[in-house]
Amino acid sequence: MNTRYRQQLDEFLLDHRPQSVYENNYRENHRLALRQTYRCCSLLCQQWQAENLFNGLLLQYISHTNCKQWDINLYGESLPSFIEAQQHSNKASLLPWELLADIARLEFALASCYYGKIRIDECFTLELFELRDIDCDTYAQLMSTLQKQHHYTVFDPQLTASSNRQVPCHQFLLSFKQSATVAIPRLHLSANNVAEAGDNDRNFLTALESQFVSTTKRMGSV
Amino acid sequence: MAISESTSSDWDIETKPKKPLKGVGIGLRLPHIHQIIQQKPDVDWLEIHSCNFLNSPTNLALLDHLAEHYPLSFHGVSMNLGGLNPLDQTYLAQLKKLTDRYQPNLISDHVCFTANDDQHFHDLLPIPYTEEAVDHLSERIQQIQETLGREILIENISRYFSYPKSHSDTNLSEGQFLSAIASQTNCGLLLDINNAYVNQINHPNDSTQKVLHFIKELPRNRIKEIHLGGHHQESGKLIDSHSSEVSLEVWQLFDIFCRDAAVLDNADHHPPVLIEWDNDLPPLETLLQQCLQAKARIDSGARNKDFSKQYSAAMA
Repeated sequence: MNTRYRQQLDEFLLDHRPQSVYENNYRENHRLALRQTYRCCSLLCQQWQAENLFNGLLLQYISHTNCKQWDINLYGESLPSFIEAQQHSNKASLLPWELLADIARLEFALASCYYGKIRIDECFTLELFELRDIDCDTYAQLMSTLQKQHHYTVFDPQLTASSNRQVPCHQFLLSFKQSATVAIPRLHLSANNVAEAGDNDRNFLTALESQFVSTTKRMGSV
Repeated sequence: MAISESTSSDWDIETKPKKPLKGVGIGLRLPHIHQIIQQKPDVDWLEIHSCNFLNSPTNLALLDHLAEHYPLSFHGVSMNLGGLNPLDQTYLAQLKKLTDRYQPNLISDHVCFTANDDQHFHDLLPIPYTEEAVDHLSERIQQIQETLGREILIENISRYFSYPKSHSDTNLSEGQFLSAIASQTNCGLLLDINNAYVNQINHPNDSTQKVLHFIKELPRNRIKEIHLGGHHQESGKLIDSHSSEVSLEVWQLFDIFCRDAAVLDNADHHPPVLIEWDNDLPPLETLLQQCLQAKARIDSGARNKDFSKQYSAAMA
């Protein structure tokens, strides 16, 4: 069935697509998708005058990582790990890779929430973005950039203690809020005070609370 | 709310029949969404990229506001009509739920393939125009129409590659190809005039890609929507980038289509027209201006109906 048709498509993919406009389209579409998902990372790199470095990183990632789902909004799940790995590369000194990886994890979590990879009627662990050891200025810059780049998210974090690491970290609660002017849901990001949480619940954020959500269920780490 | 977790009352299907979509609409892009919700600009209808709304609770809540005020058309890029993988039933089920919820006037996707094995390209990749491909796509389109319980529209794409013609294949022109599929499946056609123009320029040796030849081969009564978009030039080719205003050449081709539509069809049933702009998105006002231009050209075609009839008769 479709033998000749299959052969024609295979030939196109193997012989023609790699040298054609399509390859450029593919690279650019996926680069733009990553910049959209990781827009805070992208902007911070711009502010740190490392835009070319970040773009190069994205292109390298794209060339090694096929998208395995139809939703391009959810492409790039493994980018945070890819970023984190740069601390062992010859570019280790050029950027705070661990911090950037943490922010990237936060941004992918937001995209996952926005595009339904994480269902908002389930709660999920955000221990992954324990922002590591950043100074006050960088922290303020980060919060401001996050707020500007993620319009539907209200950021209201506070320093808390990680239950498993016993070091300061930031954890967040995601929820939908009603906008004052138009009934547009917003992601609300507020602090999760682990000191008040039960023993079993210290490392994950509780439910997304909104008019849409009535039940909560624990889910594994993002 | 997550689609799959909704209660049945969330999904009450509006059963009243929709009026045919008319006039000129714009492609809804997320950066414009707040402005549109707040200002409710005078636009006949909105086309949404359905793939962005299948799983996004936030986008759905926004769409709720818009659906109260505007007729909708759903335009997708992930049906993978020409692909070899089995149709993605999860994707189709999600689209069905979205369709049941909003009852869009039209649902459309592209004549291309977008995935192969486990790789998704997020691009509209070309397929050969052969009888074998007609059968392959027709079977998949029928499956989709059965799942959705309604007609879909298929859109001609811009192509940057032509499959080599082989003696063993029954090669068709693009117009013949689309007509054959429409005939086999009763699906509608979405005519993208900019794509047709891009193909005409990029495939100068293929006379069947001349826009007027291509359009002439299409069954008029199957054309249910028109797309108008912009392109740019790159490395000697026109790229269908949807990143600029509709070009003069495409407007002129649209004028011819409008004039013919006024003669051949009832002017009241001119297919709905969409201004499509995806990249380097301008202010909303620019899109609205393009809408006005399209409306003026449709009206001009209708006003010149009598002249056009005489002209057509003389030309015949």
